[in-house]
Amino acid sequence: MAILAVKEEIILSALLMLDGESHGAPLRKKVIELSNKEIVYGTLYNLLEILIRKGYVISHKSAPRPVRGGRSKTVYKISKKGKTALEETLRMHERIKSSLPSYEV
Amino acid sequence: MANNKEIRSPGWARKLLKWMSVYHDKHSIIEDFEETFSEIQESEGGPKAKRWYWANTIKSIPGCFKLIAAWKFTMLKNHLKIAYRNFIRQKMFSFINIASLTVGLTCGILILLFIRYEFSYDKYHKDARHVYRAVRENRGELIWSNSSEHPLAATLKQDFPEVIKATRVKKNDEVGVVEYGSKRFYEEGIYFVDQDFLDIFTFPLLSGNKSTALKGPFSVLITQEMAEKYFGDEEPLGKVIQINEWYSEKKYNYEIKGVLKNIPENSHFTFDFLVSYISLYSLKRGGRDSVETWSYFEPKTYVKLASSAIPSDLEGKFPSFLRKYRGDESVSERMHLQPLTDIHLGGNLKFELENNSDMKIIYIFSSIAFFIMLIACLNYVNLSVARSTKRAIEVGVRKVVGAKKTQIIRQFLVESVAFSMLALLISFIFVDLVWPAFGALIGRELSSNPIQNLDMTLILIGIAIITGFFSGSYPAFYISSFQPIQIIKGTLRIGSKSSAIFRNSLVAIQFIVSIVLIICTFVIHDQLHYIKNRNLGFDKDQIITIYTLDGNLKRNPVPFKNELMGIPNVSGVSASLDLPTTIRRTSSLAWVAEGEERKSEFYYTFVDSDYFDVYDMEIIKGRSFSEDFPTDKDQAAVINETASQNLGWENPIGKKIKSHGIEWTVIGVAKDFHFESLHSKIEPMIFITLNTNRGLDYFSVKVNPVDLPGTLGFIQEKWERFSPEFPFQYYFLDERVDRVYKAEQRFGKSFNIFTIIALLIASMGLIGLASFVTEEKRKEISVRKILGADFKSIIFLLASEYLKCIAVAVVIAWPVGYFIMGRWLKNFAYRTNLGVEIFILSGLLAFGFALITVSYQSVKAALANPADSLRYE
Repeated sequence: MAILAVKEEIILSALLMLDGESHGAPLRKKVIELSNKEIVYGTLYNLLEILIRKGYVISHKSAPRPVRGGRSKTVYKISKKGKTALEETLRMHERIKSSLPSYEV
Repeated sequence: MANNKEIRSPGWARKLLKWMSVYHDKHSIIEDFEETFSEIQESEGGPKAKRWYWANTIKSIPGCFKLIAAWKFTMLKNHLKIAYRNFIRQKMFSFINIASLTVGLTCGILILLFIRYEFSYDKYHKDARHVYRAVRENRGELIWSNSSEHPLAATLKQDFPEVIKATRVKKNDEVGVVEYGSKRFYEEGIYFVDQDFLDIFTFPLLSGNKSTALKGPFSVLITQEMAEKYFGDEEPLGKVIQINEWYSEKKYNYEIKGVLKNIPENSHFTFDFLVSYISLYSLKRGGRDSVETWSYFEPKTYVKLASSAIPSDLEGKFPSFLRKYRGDESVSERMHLQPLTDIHLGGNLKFELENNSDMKIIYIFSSIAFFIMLIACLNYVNLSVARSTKRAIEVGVRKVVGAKKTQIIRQFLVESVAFSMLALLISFIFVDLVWPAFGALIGRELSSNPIQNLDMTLILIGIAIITGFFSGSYPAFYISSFQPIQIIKGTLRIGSKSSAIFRNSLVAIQFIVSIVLIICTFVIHDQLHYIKNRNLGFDKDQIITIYTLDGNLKRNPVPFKNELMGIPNVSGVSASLDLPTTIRRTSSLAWVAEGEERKSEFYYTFVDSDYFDVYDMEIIKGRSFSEDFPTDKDQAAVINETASQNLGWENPIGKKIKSHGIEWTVIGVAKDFHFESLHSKIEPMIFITLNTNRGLDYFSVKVNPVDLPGTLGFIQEKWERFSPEFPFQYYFLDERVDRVYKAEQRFGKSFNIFTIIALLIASMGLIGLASFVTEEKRKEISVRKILGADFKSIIFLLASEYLKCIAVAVVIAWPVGYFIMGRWLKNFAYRTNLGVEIFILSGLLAFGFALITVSYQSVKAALANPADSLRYE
């Protein structure tokens, strides 16, 4: 099982916290909240694109919104594969944390 | 609320964002931006939100482009993969395309490098742009000459402040003997130059002081090559060599003041020794005054102008300048400034130091390159369109899946550029392989590794890309416009009439070019043959010529002549000032005809009484010089036919002409002979026998070709007895004559090769095309065969289409070839006729080539078993 890169891990976690699916803006906010660091949309979309290609995220268009313009939005959803990969990565973090002898400094 | 009105997001940033995010879902992105924008606006105010919008847009640029690049790369990879598969699948198509593009590109690169080399002449001097050569235009006869008067250089520099440097350059007219220790050689490249020479021609010095090197008399600079030849490992600086050149009979000591780096080949004159000009004061009888006189044209004058000077302004001041120094003689003459960098491609004026090239050659070769490339590109176009049936399904599927027309076009352009890049790679290897042979063909000593510099490589890659686009664009548009519905239903008709016409007209263009080239080749060959075999008016075979610097021998040639006559296989000996091919001296002549005094410029030479016999020249009126008439010496003249016409006497025998203050009696008229190349008309000239202190330079020995080495041995033996101080050196006259036409011969040879290449590429294309068309018609042929068509009619069916193309091409090519070659032949005063047989032969040759290329496929198709192609399973 593949281990996720840190940025990928953050995005997947953010998605999971947003009930597994979200469009760009809330996702960005959540990511900033989690990582405590500003992220530019350009970077975010690229990462999403990579996650899509790896099969961790699925994108689809939402139904047109009933507001002004009424366009549909691209919604990103974590896939089953993405969930397992995230779990695996988090478990690895725990393993490392528990087996590091001089962790408490 | 601090900010009541809602601020719109910045429009420019939004546009930029839209433009960048080609592959994302544009609208979602914009909406995401807008959403965050309004959040920030609410919490932190409009200006801050605007700043955020801009900052985020700009920061997103790298990410977006990364993505775009990734997608493009993915598509490119796919296109290349498909191209590779097709390349492998259709071997013949690929081979023909790659081969013709490679050959075309190789020719193109070679010619490009050649042209680049031709333009590099004399450009490496510092401030080469400001260097000019003085040339004279004789308005009466429209003759351009580059020789000038001795005092011109110094006077220009003194009178005009814009002339900052000036030098004379004068070549030693014939070989000289250079001696150091036991080493003694004839040298051709001895030049007399002024002190400013190295400031104008900035040839680098390896040792010596540039500013003083050519100051004093008897100073000499030598090239590295000469330094090695005479001194080996010794240090040449300060050593003394002896030179015995044309102007003096004695040897003089010259001190070596410096060593020059070898002179590059791309210089319009090359030399081995530079002698300070003022040495001539001591060398010439008459000293300084005999050198520094006006109205005596010998050296070339080069000047360097100040960078602010305008050459045409300076030229405007020349007429009054010349009148001031020369007196009234300059009426019909004008002086111009020719830029140094234009000299090499400016053609030959009278009295060039070395043969120049001509802009015409550049035009001719670049059009050859263009047309060969065109033929190669048309091959690609034709074959791609012809085989588009095979790609139709692929295009249809791509379109059904959602490919846009532009994407299909892009795919096919990628393919054609990939083809031309591959061809470029292969042609790099070819160029490297044929480079030395090419140098020999065009008669230039080219440096090795032609494509080593980066800018050239980039230019060539650019050319390859343009070639790819040029050859790929029509097929790309053609193929991309297929309707998927037609393709998939199978109703697409590729072999339609309009596309057949298109195909055939491309073939016709290719053959027009080929046939024109064939015509040119034939005509050039004819003219060269004509030059070689034209009776020049004198016998050039079996004549050995010996040049002498030995003053005693020059002034008193008779004993040596008599000795030579005693050798068994020698049938005649003559001593003369010039050979029939080297007569270049002119003199002003005065005479009285039809009651008026006349004056004109005539060529002249000094001969002895055996001259006309040795060279087998015919005397058509009067008699030749003879020992029996003592009055012939110093008083008699023989004139040539042209002179006889120009003088305007009915019977010239016994008439008087005046030159150099002496009166001469015409005793005979010699038949015209070509003393200049066949490019120029025969000019009037007179022969005289004159006993001067100067003496005669050449011995011409007519020999029997039996036992030539033995005869040469005898001659050398006698030479060493009469002139032990000088090395024995001889030429055969016919070799000298051939040398005059070397440039033409090289030109003819390269033309031959390029014509064959063009024809080969065109034929290759035809082979490919024929095979596709034959395949398309396989069923038709089979049905015809079943219905009783015989072998002959099927061959005719397949070949007739192409033969029609060729016929059209022939008809168009004939007048084009006639026009071009008519103009080329005008360069020669004496030329062959443009014969009908040349045109007929060129047409037949094209037909022959086309038939041979088409017939293989046709015969194969005609012999095939119809059952094979009609069987349906």
